[in-house]
Amino acid sequence: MQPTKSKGTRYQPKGLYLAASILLVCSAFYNIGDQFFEEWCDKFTNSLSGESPIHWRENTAALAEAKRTSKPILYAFLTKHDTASLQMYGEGFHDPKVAELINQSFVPVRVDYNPRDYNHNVALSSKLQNQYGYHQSCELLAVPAHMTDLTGNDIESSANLSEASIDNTAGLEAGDRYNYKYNNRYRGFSRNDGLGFLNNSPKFVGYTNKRDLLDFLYESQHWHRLPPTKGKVAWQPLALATAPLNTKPRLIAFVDNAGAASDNMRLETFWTAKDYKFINKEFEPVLVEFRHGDDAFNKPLDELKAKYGITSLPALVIESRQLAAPLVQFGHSNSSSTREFLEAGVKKTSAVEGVESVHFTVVNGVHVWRKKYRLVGAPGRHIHSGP
Amino acid sequence: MNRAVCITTWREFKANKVRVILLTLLFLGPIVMFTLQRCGSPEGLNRDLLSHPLMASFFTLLWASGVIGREVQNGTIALVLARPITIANYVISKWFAVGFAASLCALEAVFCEHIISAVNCPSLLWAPEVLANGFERVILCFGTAAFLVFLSSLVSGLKDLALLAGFGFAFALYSAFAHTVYGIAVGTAHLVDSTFALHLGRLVENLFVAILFPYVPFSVFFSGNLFAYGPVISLLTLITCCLSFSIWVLTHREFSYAAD
Repeated sequence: MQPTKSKGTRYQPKGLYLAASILLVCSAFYNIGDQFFEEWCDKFTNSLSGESPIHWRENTAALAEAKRTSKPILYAFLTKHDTASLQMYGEGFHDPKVAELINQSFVPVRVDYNPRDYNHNVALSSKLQNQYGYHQSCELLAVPAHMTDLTGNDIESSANLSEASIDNTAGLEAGDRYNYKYNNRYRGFSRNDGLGFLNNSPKFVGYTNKRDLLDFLYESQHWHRLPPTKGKVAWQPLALATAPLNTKPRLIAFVDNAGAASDNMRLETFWTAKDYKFINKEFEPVLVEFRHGDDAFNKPLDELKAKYGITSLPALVIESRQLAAPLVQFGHSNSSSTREFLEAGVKKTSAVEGVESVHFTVVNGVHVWRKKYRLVGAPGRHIHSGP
Repeated sequence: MNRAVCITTWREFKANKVRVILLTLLFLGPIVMFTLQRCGSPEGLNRDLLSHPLMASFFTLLWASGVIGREVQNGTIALVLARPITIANYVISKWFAVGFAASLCALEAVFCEHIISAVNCPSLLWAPEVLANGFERVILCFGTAAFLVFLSSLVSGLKDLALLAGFGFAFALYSAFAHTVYGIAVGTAHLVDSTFALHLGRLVENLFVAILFPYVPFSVFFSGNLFAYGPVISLLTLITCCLSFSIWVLTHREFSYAAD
């Protein structure tokens, strides 16, 4: 009788043990190598390497190219060993539509960050982190060509009604620009988890999917290309700024077309009914608009700036026959602060006693507004000193 | 693979009412949460609201806790092994039964979540996210199942849950403690090689993560030249090692008919 070839209950699967041993050795080799011999392992394991259909530039070359072509710079902050970065690079950037759009409409710059670089030797990453203040391990940031010297807050800020989601057709006033319902109802890409295309921002945080990424790219290529609002103030012609003073005090507003402080002044003071009605009633308003980074355009306006000792934007100047020297507010904090400046200016031009000693300080021949608020954009508090 | 062992495992689960109730709650929880989210904010209607693939680990936990330990406690393992079946076959069958059942539950859950999203917004019907989410769930289910089967083979009854909790606690303790170690290592750079300490710390942390959360991102897995070797090797190592250890432990153990 032939013995049966069935295996015993306590049969040891040597094949499985062998496979487990080999895999354990491979895994140990991989992980130890990945930690202690990183450079060598990168040849095989760095998932952010390999061919990319996107034509990445060096930062210096990108800055020059952006200035020449007026295309926005697209900074891709990618972190090694980060899942979202791997997905962004592997799925997002390798998509033909995404790659084509980036190559056509942006000047792409890759900013790699290695969390294991404990000495933080990555100079570009640190420099951009200081300037733009990004916090996520995987983030895209579109920087308009004329705003490369500004901060992240300035880039995120916008005074264009469309970009600020102000429904002008409904006659909404300031405050309603924070109306997220409008944004959420008509723009499908908003999310609650803080990922993807953030509302009214040229940032894409983390990685969600290709559709969101394409939405972001289509929108962000136009960011800050539309003109900012002038509000509802009845602005007089620019020539009036240098004309002899009339009986009404004159308000000269110096604003930039970029920067959070100028944007806030446009959207708060020039757009709020209470403020623009007050300005229209009490002043002869003149708007002096600068274009950030456009020296040829700004040159004729610089004389006017120099006349009032203005070194940064925005600024408000009140001139009147009753005043020995013009009153100046540097920067902008909020509409209440500016409103107080305007009211104090009106009182001062009406020769109300006691105003100047409380609110104004004489600096270089002009009365500078020194109210209780910290004014954003005032000299020494801003990264740029104006065009 | 032994079909009878698989079917017995599934039937045994069905007979346990507590587990069935927990499974139902786990299934309905995300759906209720997303429904409330949709009611609260209209923008949720045009989004594919899917729960995180990590949910699959909880489904596996329900299916796998005590999968071998209970049979050891009841003494039924001795009866099962009296049949012509090897311990290796028994362990692999248990692992497959648990992994398959948990995958099925996790996939059903994500499918229902997706269908609800697609009903609200038909353009989401063919969204690729659901495929990625499903794939990651299956990977997680089989990876976690291997580790839980190993824990279950070490002890009897539901004591494997205590082992898992202990393991999780050790990880939490290490995570909290590691930062201090890093700080000391960096602060005393002139005494010890701080970089070595930091790398060692990361290595241990990776080990914990690979065991507790065997996650392989879908897009990375299928991204051609960007093939992520690490997570895939870790997953295969986890499965083969856990099953091997489990088989080795059980083959070197005496089973009695009496409950301990």
